[in-house]
Amino acid sequence: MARLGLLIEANRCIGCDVCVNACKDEYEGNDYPPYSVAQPDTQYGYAPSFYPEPASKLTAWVKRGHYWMKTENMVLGKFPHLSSTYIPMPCMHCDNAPCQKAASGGAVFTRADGIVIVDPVKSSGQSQLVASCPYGAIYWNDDKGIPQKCTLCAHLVDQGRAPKCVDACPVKAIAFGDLDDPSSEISTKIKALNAEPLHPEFGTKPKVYYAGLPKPFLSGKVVDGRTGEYLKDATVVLRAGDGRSWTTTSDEFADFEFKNLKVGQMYSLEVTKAGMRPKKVMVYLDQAKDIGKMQLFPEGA
Amino acid sequence: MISLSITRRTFVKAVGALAAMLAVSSKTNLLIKRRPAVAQTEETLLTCAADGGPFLAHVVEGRWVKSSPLKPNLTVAANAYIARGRAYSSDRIRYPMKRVDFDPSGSRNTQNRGKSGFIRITWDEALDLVANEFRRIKDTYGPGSACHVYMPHQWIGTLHSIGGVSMFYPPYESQSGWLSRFFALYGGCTTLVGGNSFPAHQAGGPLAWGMQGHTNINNFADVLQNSGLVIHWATDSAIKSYNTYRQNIALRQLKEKGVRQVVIDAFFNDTAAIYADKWIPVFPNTDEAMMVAIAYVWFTESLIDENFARSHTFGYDDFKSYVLGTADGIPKTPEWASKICRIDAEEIKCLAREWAAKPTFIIDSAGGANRRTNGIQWVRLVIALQAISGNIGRPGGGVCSIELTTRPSTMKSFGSIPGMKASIVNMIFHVYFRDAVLNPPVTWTSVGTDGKIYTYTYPKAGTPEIHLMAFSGGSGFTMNQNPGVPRHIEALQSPKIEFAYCQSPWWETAAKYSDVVLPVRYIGERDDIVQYDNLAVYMHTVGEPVPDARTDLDIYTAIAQRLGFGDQFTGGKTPAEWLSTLYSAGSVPMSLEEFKTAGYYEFPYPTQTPTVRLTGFHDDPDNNKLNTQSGKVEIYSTRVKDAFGADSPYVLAKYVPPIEGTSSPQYQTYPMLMLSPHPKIGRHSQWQNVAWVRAYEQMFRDGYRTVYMNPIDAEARGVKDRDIVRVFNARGAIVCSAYVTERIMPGVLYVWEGGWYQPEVPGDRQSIDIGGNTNVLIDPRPGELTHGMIANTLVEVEKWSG
Repeated sequence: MARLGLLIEANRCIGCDVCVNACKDEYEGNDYPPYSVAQPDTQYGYAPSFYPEPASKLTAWVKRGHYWMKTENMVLGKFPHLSSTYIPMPCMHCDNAPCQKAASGGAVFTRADGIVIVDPVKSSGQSQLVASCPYGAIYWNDDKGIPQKCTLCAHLVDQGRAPKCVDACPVKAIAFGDLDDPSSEISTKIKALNAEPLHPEFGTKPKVYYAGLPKPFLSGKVVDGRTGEYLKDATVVLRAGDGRSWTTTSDEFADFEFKNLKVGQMYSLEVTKAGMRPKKVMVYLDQAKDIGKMQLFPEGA
Repeated sequence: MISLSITRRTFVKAVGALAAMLAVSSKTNLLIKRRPAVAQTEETLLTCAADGGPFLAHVVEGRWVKSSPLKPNLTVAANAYIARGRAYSSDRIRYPMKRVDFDPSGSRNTQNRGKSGFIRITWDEALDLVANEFRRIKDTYGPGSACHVYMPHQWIGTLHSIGGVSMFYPPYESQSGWLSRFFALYGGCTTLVGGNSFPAHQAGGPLAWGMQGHTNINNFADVLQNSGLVIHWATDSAIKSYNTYRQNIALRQLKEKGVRQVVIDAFFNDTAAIYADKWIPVFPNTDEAMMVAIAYVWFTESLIDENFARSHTFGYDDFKSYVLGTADGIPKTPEWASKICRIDAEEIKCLAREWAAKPTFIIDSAGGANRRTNGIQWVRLVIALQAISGNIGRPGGGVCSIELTTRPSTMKSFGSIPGMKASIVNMIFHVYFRDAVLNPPVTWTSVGTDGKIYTYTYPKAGTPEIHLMAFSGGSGFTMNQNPGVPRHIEALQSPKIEFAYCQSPWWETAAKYSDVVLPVRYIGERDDIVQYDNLAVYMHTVGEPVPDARTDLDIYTAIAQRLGFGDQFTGGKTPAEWLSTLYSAGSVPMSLEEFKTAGYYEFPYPTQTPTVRLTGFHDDPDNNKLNTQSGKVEIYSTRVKDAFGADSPYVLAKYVPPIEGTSSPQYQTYPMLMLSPHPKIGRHSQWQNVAWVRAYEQMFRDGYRTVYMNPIDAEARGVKDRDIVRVFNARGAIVCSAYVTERIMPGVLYVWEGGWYQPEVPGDRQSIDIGGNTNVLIDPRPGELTHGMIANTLVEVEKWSG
């Protein structure tokens, strides 16, 4: 039996929210028994409504509805040394689903293919499911008194199709397939991209994998300490306490960057360039940061 | 495994209380109630298309319930799923309506436009009223007193695109489609002209190289194969393309090949975040200072071929003298530029050296830094610097507007409805609408597509002023998308505009300020055909959210009939016959009936071989002249000198300080520079009335449009993320939600354009705009040469408590 999952390449996501809107398009106003019933409509307006009657003063309002697929923008660093990543987050369809544990009367079950379903009938009144999800993937439907979430489009999967977000994404950042088949496209990609779940420390064993999640970086620039002139092609070596090291060179703008670093540790940073005295500093990396201009001075100066 | 028979049945069951679409108390409002569910029903799949691309509409019992791709994995652009939200928007006009206090044979109460309510009238009453006004205005003043607003961004379809009458780029007249036929037969009209989109490309391009500023001279295959550096200049290429899918494939190919990409923008935009190797945040409107400093580096470090530069440009020595400071005593060094641009001098030097060393391709978007009074200088300098560095007419060097990939030519076009030549009695430059109505005459200059400088006056001697506004195909141009919105409202509320009507699917801005509104059918509510990317698509009727709505074509036909030229207008053909004619101009290899059943046809997408234009000019400029006065790339413009004098700052392509910037007097009071880029979801004001877009937190929070602010600026004003704030200057004020982020430069604000103007007190143009329309804050004064003033707007921002 297949074990279905997703691979999301967050580093390629442009944050257009087509996946979000396609999901809303699928599930607002449409039931797919026995897997799901319609989620509440997203609504907006001005109060009191103006057209076609006059009003004296207006305020804007919006009811956002559910976000069975949502995106968040994570920005690391400070202007102007930044990384920005959009992270699409559906339900993680965990192998060890906390919502299933928190449910009673079989309200949450996992299909043989791994899709986790919140039964729209049996889950009636079980508001505890909302808080049970550490990923915030479960939403409460006030009108119907039921918890609801992403079904991995089980009704489409039954028809041999992929979930709607997969088809909708204009940059093809979401892949879908069988995690248990090592030759499937998704399994191959997960391996090649070193993909990982979000928050593995929750212990829920998600079946949604991510590549390119935002990670702490250390960046800087190499300059001539006397003139301020930018120096390209300087060698920059970063060393961690455990002996690992990374090497790069300053580019056309004299910039250098080390990505995917662990925070909460000391590093040493050494910059060398022919004809200049090497420069070495110690850096405590508490978060993604830019170390500024590393000034080099000529030998003998 | 739970197995479900794979059928197309949708089991729609009533579950508890069904949510109403909109909780509004008015008894006359536009509620579109969800129908109570019924037992198992068949679902039909029908092809359709919106301007976001083609899709399959799922129809249950005559109602469009959701959309999916034409086929799995076929997605062309980002907005296709939102079309249904537009169709069923709570803003639909349900039936013909008339302002309660508008009486065409009594008091018109024009001052109440935007304030008074509306009552329902019948179609016959409405059409009679509109036709009578057209007849009366023409008999009283002449046909030029009817003012038509041409809106280029109409939603799609070949039969139902109504076209228009315009002098968008003088002297070139664009007369197309149903509207040109109507006004030709009516006897003529006045039309609004001028564009917000690429005014500087339109003015600067012909001056610089004899064609539009953003003309693609390479194709993407050439860029991928031969460019060493791609500069995205004041543009977010990844998200602003009409074809998101193909555009991002192209950007990814560049990145994977290792072509260096630099983004220049005050905002760490998505292209910078995902694809670029380098982001240079330049203070907006100062790019030309950096550009002339780049030239300074080229000259002083001998990085360019001077013989080539001299033989391919006109005005090289004047330019060099300006850059080196021999002319004015101010050498345009990187140090000089760095203070103006707010970046290190060394950054400018590095860019200069890399640009000179590699075949460089520049995406100088038809948008971005062109939309300001001195944008013309930016466009001219991009072309001048590309010419000087040898990047015109050689592999890998060139410019483009934003679309990296172009539509293939294997598919023959369906063409369009044949227009007729309407007499354009007068033109009104759109930003001058208020002055044209309230304080005529107005005079303005414009650079034509031929590079010549034209002067226009409204109204021309012996011609009438306008007294009737005909809004169709989108009111954006005059009312919502026109810099200085409250001023134009003032004109529209004047008794000089005796009659205003609006035909539209939605209660857009112009509809709210009209006397009569007519509901129009949107896509999916009438059959049509369209071409998109490499697809020909049949657009089925998939639902009827507003049964009383009619097509623009039907409306104009009915008015034409009442005015006595109905048969000429339709050419004696029914809409179905026209559809057949349009279809047969194309090359889809099947009958129209077969095409309707098939739904779409996919043409082969040809592989591109690298192509570069202007290679003749590059290799032998004297015998392959450009369409300029000198035949060369003109850095110095004799035409500008002849028109405005040798002292005009625009004679030379050089840095001219922004008309509203740090040295302006108002900078002391309004020290924040506001940019208003294209909305991330939507096309200008389109799509902004869909609930999902109103809930998209990059653009809207808590119902208000976002304003991006750097934490330094926010903290200085006691503003926190998600606070409701007021963005204001002497021209007006708008309400926004503060989006505090490191991604935007200090001193700069970012508010997505396209907000639907909505004064807090409806119809009161002094009251604050809760729709967040940036045009409330923008000075509509144009420059002599460029008519896009948008990006040079100074404002202040503070917390707002209501």
